[in-house]
Amino acid sequence: MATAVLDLELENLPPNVSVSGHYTKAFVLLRYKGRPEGKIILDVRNGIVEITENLSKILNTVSHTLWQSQVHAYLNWDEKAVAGYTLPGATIAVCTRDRPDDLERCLEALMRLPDLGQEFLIIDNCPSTDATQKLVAAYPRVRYVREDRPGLNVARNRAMREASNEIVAFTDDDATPDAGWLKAILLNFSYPLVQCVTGLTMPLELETEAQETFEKFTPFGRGFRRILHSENTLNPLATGRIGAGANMALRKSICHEVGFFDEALDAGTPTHSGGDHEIFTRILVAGYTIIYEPAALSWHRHRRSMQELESTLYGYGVGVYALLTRHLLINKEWGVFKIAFNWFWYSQLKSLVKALLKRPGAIPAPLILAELKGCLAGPGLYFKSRKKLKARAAHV
Amino acid sequence: MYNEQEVSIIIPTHNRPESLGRLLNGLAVQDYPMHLLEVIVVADGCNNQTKDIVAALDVPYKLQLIELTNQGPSVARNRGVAVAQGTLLIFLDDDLEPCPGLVQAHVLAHTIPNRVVIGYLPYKSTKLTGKYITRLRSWWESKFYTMRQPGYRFMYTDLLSGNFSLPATVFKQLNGFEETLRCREDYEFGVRLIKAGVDFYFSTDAWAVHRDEATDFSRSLTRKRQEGNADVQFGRLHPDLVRNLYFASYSKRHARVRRLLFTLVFRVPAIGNLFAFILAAWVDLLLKINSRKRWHKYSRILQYYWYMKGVSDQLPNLVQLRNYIREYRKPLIPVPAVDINLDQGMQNAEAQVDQLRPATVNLRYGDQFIGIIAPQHGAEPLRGMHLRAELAHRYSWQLSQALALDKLTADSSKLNSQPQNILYAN
Repeated sequence: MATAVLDLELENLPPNVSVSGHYTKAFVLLRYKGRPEGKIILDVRNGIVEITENLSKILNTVSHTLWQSQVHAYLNWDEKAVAGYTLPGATIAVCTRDRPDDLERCLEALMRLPDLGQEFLIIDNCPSTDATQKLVAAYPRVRYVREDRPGLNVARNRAMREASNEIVAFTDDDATPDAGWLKAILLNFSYPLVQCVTGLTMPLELETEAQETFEKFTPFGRGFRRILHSENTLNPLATGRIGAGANMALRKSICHEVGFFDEALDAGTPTHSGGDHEIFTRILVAGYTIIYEPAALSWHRHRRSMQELESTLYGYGVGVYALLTRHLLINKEWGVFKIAFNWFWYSQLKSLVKALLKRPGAIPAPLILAELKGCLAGPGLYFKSRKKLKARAAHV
Repeated sequence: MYNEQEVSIIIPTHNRPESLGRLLNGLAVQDYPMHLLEVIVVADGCNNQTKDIVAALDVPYKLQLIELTNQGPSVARNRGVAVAQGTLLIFLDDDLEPCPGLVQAHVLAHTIPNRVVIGYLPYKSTKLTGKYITRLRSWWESKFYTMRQPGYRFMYTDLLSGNFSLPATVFKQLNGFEETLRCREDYEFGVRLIKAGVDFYFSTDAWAVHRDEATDFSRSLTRKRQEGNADVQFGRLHPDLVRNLYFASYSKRHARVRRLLFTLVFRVPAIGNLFAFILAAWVDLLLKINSRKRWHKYSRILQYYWYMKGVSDQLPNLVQLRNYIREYRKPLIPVPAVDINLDQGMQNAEAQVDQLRPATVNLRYGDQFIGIIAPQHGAEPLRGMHLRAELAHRYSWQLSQALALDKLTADSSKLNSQPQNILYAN
């Protein structure tokens, strides 16, 4: 049971694609003039993915976005192309910790990006070996910075401080950005109120059941339409649909307005995740806009084993509840109770019942239970994380 | 190189000596020949501090001070222009911090004679923070951003008087600002500019930071009252635009709230005042408990209450309001629409519109009807570049259908050939 990942251009569809024999399905990303328009899962027969046969199916999946892209292409129209805008300078930051294999793939992809004058920054977070440093030394254009305090948000803050350009674009070490990624992000900063842009994240590979499960139930992708999120269109506390830290870019100046990333949150601390979504809330509350731009495409390698996936979902649960705790504690956001209730009542409980009844298409029960367990532990772990942070600060 | 000309900068000011000093110093470092620059400060109802600041400054340009006794910004600007020598006039508010290229950018943007240039004002509130300021900033920035977008159709409301320039001849031809207005005088001038066929142009290069040190929510309520008051006067001057005014529009949006406000302001003003008092306390509370969505809603209602109160300052009872609307709110005069066919290509259609400059257009593709660009009161006549924007924003679905049908008929006429690609096949 493995799924091939394909990337096809609608203007130039092959009649069929042959893939390695061990694949039974194919996950196809469909693009029109390079812009992602939709995704579809097709069957593989004898190592062949039939495209022509499935043409109507393919057109159906892209029909809700494709017509608009076609009209825009016909009109030669781009709403982001405002008068007197030049692309700002960018720093691409990768926060990594002891994953040289993934990082190498990521660096290779970064080196393939067209040159827009960007700076490359690797933040090596509390490494246990010097493998990362050695790897980065082979790339002369990349700046290596070592951050010894553990925590993804600590590393992100370091990147925000170290970056020498106006825009800081983050990618995870296990992601490989597409060639048009950076430009698509930078074009969106033409609007002065945009302080953050997130992109579309697709799976790099779907070789194992865990990866397929992840892509099926908790994908990083947030659809194929460009969305402007602001306080008027979205409850700032419900930032899940905006995107994720694996593929986001911020203006460097935002940290002086809304503060830095909360160092008690996210990977490397007891809270596991949530650091990206927490700052999204502060950006929205400050009256700024966040854009989700599907053209900013990146490919992410999901966790390969079921245990890893389970702990990832546990981490999500912890992260969400930790950041809700923070909102309540620091910003007196009483709305967090509603968010927590809605999430449980309309989503988690439904999934749990479905899973327990073994309905088709249900998320495996252990995963939901892991997430719920994380939710319960979240507030406590946030306090623990803060305590640890304080203790370390006092120690230094 | 551009045509260097004498420039007069007119700055009306009202008791903001520090801000004024910052602006005058900012103008001293402009990338523009100083001997061609003249600055006229019109101190309107100011105490001596302003005079002292202006007297103490040592600036490389010619600086004049005119003193008035609180006669409002319209009079102040007109008096300034009366003594101005320059062929180009730039109007600046006193709370701006100009970029060094401001004057040059204004001069450069006047590539055609009959043009008004509106400069970009990034918003910075220095002292105050809070929910109202962030909303104001969003409004401000999104207004400028839409003006920057390709194919934007300018309206009279785009004439923001804080940072704009126009030839002195145009200003004098139109007799300057309307002196009876103390508020909305910029919109009113904008209307006359649009009607006179003056070209509107937005420049991001001519930017100046708007350092807002005064605005807060309670001041905005006072301002709303002035706006309501001024809107009534504005309508008397331009009856064709009365339907654009909030109190006289029949739009279904907020119809219930508007009805409630009418009742409170005009029928039972005593209860209305109590209502405003309680609503203000409620809005304060909502902000304290971070209930943003409700705050947005109720603070707006409060603002509109004070706007209506301003209307009632001019028209004290419902009878007068009714008579006013009956007298001034005229039925729309139908404007003949021009047929534009897109099947000869976009460029062709655009050239046609550029030549005709119609107020309204029927869009067709071949024999298929796509849509109407409706006449907009107080907007500039259509240009070719407006077509793409309208098609992309409003009629993209209709256009895609038309293109698909066109493609299909073309394909089926080539009997034996299979459709080569899948464009428009969905």
